[in-house]
Amino acid sequence: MDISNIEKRLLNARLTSKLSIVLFGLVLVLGARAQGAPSGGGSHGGGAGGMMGGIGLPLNFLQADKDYKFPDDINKYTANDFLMLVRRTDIRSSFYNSDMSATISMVNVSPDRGTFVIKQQIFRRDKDDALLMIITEPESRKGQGMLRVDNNMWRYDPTSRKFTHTTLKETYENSTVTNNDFRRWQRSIDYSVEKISTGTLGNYKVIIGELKANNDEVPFPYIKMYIEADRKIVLKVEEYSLSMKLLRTAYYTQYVQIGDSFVPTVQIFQDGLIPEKRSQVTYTDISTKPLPDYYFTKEYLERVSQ
Amino acid sequence: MKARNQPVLIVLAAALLMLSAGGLWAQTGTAPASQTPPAVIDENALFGGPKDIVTVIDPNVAAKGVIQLVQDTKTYPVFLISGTAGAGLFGNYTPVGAAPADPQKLYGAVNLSGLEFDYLPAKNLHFSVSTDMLAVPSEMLAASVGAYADLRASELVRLYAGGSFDYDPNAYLSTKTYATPTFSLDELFVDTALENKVFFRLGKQRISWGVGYWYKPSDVLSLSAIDPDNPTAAREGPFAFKVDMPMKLNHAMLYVVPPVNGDAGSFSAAGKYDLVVNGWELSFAGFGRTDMLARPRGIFTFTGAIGAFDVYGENVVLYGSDRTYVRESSTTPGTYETYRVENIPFVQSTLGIKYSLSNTNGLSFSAHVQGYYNGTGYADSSILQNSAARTAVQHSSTYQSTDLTQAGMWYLAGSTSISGRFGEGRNLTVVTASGYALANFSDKSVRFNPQLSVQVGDQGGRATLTLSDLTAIGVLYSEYAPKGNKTTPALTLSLLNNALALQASVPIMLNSDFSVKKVQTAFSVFWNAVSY
Repeated sequence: MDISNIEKRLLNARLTSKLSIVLFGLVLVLGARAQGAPSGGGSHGGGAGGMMGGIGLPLNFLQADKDYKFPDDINKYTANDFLMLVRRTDIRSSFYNSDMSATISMVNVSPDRGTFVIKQQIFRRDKDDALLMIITEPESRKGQGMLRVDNNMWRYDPTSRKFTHTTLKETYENSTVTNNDFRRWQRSIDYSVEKISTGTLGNYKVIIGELKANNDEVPFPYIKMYIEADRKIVLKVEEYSLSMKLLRTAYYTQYVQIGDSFVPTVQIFQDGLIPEKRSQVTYTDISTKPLPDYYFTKEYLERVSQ
Repeated sequence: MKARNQPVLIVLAAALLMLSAGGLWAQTGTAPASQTPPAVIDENALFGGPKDIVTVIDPNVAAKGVIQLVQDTKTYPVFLISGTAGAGLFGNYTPVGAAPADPQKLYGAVNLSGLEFDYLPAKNLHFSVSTDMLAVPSEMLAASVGAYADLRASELVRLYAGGSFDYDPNAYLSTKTYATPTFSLDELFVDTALENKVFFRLGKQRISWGVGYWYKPSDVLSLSAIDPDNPTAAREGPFAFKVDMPMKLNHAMLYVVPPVNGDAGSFSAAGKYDLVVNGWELSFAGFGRTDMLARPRGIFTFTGAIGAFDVYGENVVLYGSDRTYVRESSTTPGTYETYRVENIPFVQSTLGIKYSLSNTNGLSFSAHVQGYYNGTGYADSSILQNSAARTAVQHSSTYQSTDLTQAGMWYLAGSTSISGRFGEGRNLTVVTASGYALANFSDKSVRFNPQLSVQVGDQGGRATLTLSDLTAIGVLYSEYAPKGNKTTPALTLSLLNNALALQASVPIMLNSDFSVKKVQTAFSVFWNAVSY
């Protein structure tokens, strides 16, 4: 190693130390605005009408819904009425005043690959847009999981003991289900209404809205929603590609109502391209008991894995 | 390895005996009818039943406990089996440059792929054995067995033990070669916690520091090098005491590595603080070792997104280099001497960028590139291609296995993939062209693997054809071409959800002028008749 090399290394080190000081200062500034993780027990939630901006919801998102008067006749719905109806279903899919936990079974049926079952536990703190999912079956994959808090999302691989980032757009476990299906809905933010009509699904009168995405973060650019008018719950959603090819149909065939919240406890997804390919998500148990804060940390995800 | 088969056979026999003691089933295909999607979607049946689709639950009841919606109780003990087993033909042939030791055979062979046995005597106890194996009637050609026990006293308190056995002299099961049977204790640790606020992991454990993919200069605690052909593979970790303290999304951790060489004063310690800021994760870390064999260092890593690009980086400043260097002796030309550089600072820095794009019409594209400046490397690492120089390093009193890996100063690696989806139904076809490449500019070696894949049916369930060509270019003992110039075209074809699998590969050794030196072939056809 000659003298010139040593001088180069010294110069590199000086530059790096200066860069580190600049970066450290930057971190201190940004740290003041640092995003905290979920805080407070579930029973001390943000509450309706609270500051939602920090979790990706527009201000007044909840308050405007409270005061909104829907038409009595479903034939009189306007595009704005339908968008507010979608907002109502978004809000009702959430638990802003409590935590929520559930055990979920997902059965995937593929004409080529057979039947595959995944069971998992989910923990949600919607007021912080926090979600933890942990696989409990199959046993060979027990403990694999995903933590998302606002825009931060990690997956954990117990084999390499490594966390990696992932996105909500990703298909979940190569099924017809996406990561987004486990999140609280926010379709009224992501889509605008193009056309509405009315119809019937089994015993229920529905308002049908055709919506177009207003950003490229959502997995489907066009959707068609079938919403039951009386209780304002979503029964069916068709999801289309850019070229309007039907990619997936979702059926929400069972709900539980806990307070003001409605949870679709049986969801059936049919693939649009391979119609014989289907998935069913079934909630086998549910609770709104407050969850400990440490559940929404990477550390907990690592500890419960294998 | 006829005489060496015994440990594996004992493990397998024990697993089979265990399984025969109780019920056994493949878990992946069982589900109650009420949780299985209907064979035909009938909207009138879904929404036309006599029962209301909404069930009302008292919020006070839900806030106090768990409401069971569907009867789904698991009973123990549980025995499970998954994976495939098949039989067929396996062979080798060396048409050009054959040596007496080269096999020229065609075997009837048995192939186990991902065969896993799980035994859960109770909810918090889990024993697992998994194996991949290629065997012919007279001998076992390759085997990889992994086993672990996960014994929990409570949710966050447990004993975990994991070990493995590998024998694969010709790299049939992976890109890694195990010339002799190799047993290893991969992990043995206990987890515990103080009031669910401070978490401890004590024992031998895998540790994955850093955010890089092919290069991770901040991963100072891992004991083995990153496999360039499988960068996400698990790596051996040290015996360490780990203390974790989550602070909401932020996170502080401390590792203490006790003496490993019998010297009571030889401790290592590493601390790290992860800070989550506006979608970025920043980590600040430091490392020190009392005997200074590994030099003290400061570490800064980051990961986040800039627009549509995911960005990550690692920066390390060391006081002195961990490496034992070698140079030609100035007094005795032709011989080599080793030395260390311990009194000047060094810098290691890596930056990676990832981009992906997909649309709902079936087109998707991704690209990933990572550059690495390794200040502790040789500007010209070709000296390590000299056997005498390598031997001098290996015989040094300060030798560590990392002295001969990532010895270059400048690296670049990348991967890309583009795929398109065509057709519908069971003829749905996905065509993917992809590849990765790694280059060490300091010894002028490169390694790349272009790949073309055609999948027909759901996720290639009906048929999957893959063509690849792993190629290494460089001088013998160079980093990415340790065996010199070599190219390995390969074809794999699987049909009927992998019930029938065909593989063929043609490793071609090339001279320095790229003329053919030796051509080998390996091929197999297996009917995976048993699938769990």
